[in-house]
Amino acid sequence: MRQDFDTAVFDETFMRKLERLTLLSRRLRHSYLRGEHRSHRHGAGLDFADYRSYQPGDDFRYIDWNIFSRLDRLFVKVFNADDRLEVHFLLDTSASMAFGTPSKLAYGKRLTGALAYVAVHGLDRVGIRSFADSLGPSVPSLDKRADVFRLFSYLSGLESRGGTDLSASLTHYAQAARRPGLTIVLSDFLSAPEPEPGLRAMLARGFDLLLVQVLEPSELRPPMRGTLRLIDAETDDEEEVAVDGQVAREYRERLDAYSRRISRFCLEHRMEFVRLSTDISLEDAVLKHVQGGLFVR
Amino acid sequence: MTLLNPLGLLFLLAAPPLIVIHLLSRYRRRARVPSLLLWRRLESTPRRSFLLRLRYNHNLILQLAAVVLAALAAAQPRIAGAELAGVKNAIVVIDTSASMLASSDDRRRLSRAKEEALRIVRELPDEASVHLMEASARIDLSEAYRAGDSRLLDRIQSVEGSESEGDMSAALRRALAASGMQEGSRIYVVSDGAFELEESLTAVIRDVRFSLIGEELENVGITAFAQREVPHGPQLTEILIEVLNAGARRRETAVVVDVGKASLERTVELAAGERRRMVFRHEGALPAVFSVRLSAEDALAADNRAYATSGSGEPLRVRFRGARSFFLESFFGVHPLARLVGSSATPPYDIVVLNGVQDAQLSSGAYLLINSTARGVSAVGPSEEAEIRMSPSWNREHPVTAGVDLSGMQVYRARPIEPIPSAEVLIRSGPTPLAFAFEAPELRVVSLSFDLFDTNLGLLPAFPVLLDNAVRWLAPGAAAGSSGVRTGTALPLPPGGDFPRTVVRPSGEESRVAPEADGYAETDSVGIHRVRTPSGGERPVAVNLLSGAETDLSPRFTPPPEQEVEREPTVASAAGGAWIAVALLLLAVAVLLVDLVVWRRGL
Repeated sequence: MRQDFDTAVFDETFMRKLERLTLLSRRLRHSYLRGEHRSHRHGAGLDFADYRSYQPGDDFRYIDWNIFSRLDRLFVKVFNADDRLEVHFLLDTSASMAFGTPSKLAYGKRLTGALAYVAVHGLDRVGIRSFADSLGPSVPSLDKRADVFRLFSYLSGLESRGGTDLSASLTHYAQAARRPGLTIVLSDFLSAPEPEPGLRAMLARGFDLLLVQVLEPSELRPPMRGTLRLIDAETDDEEEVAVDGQVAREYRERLDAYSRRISRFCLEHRMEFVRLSTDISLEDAVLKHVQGGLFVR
Repeated sequence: MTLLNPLGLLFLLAAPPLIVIHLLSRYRRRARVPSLLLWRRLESTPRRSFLLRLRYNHNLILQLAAVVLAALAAAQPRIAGAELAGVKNAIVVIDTSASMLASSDDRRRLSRAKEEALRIVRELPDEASVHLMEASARIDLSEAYRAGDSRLLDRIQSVEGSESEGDMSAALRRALAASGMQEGSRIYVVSDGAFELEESLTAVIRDVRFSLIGEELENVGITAFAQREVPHGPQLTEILIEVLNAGARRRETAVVVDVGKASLERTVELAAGERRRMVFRHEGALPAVFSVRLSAEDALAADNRAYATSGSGEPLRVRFRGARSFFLESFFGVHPLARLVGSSATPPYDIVVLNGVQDAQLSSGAYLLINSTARGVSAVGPSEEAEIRMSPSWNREHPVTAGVDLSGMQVYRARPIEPIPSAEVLIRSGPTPLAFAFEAPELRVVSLSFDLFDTNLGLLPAFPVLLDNAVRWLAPGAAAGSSGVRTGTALPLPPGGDFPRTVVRPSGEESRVAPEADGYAETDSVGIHRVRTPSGGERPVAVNLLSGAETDLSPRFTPPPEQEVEREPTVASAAGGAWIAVALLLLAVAVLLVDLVVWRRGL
């Protein structure tokens, strides 16, 4: 297992805390009511929810014949589907994620591992896929608790390289995914093409989205000063910049504005946006920043 | 903190070129960032880049720091000792005698003495009042300066040495008198220690701080130089030279006498401390100026040469008025410096001799009055001419009667001449003045109140001596004659008058002399000085060091034992100060190393 994905951080105490968490999906809980759609998903258990009038096409097996005998009208029983949640992780492995100590990629891997453990422990189906300028290799959907180590092994094999095209990757993923579900995107979101088109495509496919922006402290508060020739880690583009306190402040304002824009977009589209710095401990990141939102309880 | 060598701050001049080089440099620090997305087109960047290039240029900042540290190290900072904090008045005595011109390792003792004096002054509290004393044959005490006054530092820097024999005892006496040795007063003496103090001073110099910068040096010098014509010889001159080897090693040197185009040379070998006299003989007329020099290369050059004049310069013009006198005519006829001129000769005259002239009207100039009176100077008293039978008494201090034995003198008849009160009686018999001298700014008079035929003076050996003294006093410019004067002593000049009095120094520099001055005091250089005479000619005067005390460069003075203890803080302070400079230098090197690391890492 690679150095940047050290499972030692998942100690017994932390794992017990993770096991108390549950991943949620608003969209899926309301739409997968058994009997509302022609195609049904078979879950492990069924909870009776209500009756409604029979409509052509309904499964005869759910007609309540006792009521028909008494009222001479056809009613079908409606159940809440105790279906398995599809949880998708999309992890940015572009070159920009290699920065920081620990690197943003390492931090993202650990966070993905922690949330994947929550999902697997809740018997949800988990799939992880990396992306950079396009979608990378994926690990197939897993639903057994014993499979968590396969997830970890997959995560440890990821390396940062290449540029980023978040929008294209999301669009492609939305088209390729077999079943929509809760999708957790971990990235620094520092990509030249704006991510909104890709996010819209995901929404259109019915995904719930939790966006986690991972940044390192020097991105939040750049320490360098003076006349610098900055080199983009992904594109090797160069820019001469004279940095003093005012310029650094202007940079921070830009970063905040950029994050606020994504956050507002998420708010408008019933998504959630969380910004994390790699100097926040993994436990705090999960239990204080991610938990308590729309999708992690 | 003070700086012993402020010129070291000139290192700071390296800073502006350094800044320009960094401004013009195309080198920029490179830094990889995750993304340029947020760095592009920042509004406030362009107008700030110029200043930021300097402000955040770590290499430039480090290099400037190294320059500042190196400049400080070169300036030799010193931290004033607590011992000096209470000093309110100070006199800094710098020995400027000839021995201070001795060099070792191409540095003169005087240069080191000035550095030491600067160090002392800079360690004094800024508000302390400081006098500077330059001590050679002449003693110059400056006005008071504040220790922090840059004019004082400039004054110390401009101190020049004198090729004259110093008198440290006299300098210390004067410094002690000037300071009053009050509380908070301090005397600092910076010298090579090549002097001996009078015994009487050793008890009162305990509070004097000596900084002795001298060391043992090898030196050979001329300590005596004279010439005389051999009596009855066929124009034969003997030249006497004394040479001293004041070093610790045996030395060999050639002694060369330059007599016109001819040279007389002799090589002598001198043991350590040996003084050797030698006589050279020269046949024929001597030139107006001749000299002797030593070939030895040693620490002090001023005593390796000496000059003399033959006395064959322009003679004094002596005008004779009144009755003729066998004695006077005989004297002036053979006197080597004087020549009688006839009544047809045009003025000015160097000396006017009045014999038997009464109530003469004297203008400016020099007068020898024999049995004569002059208005405003003397008058015939009410008493009759008197026969003097008592042995006369005479003033043994005055230059005219010094060295003259008048014990056998008899005056058979003298006129009752009364000099004015300001005149100085030279010879008297009882209450009766027989001779007097009078001196005014433009007038000198020597008067004898008797006829030379009414005395046996003309038959005594004292007669030519007395008249020769009178001539040399009346016309001091000529008196310098062949033997010359010692450096640092006043060059006698003829009395002022309507004619300009000018002295041309060996360097060619001309000095005007005030009419009221008796002599020319700035004889700091060995060599021929030329005195412009009233007749417009030039009279060469030799000025020589000729001092065994200065030729001996070895430090002979030892401060009293108490002094050694009291000097320690100053010595320790100086040593500590040197460490400050070394530490600053090491720090500068360390900063440059850090700069190198920063540059290599592209930080």
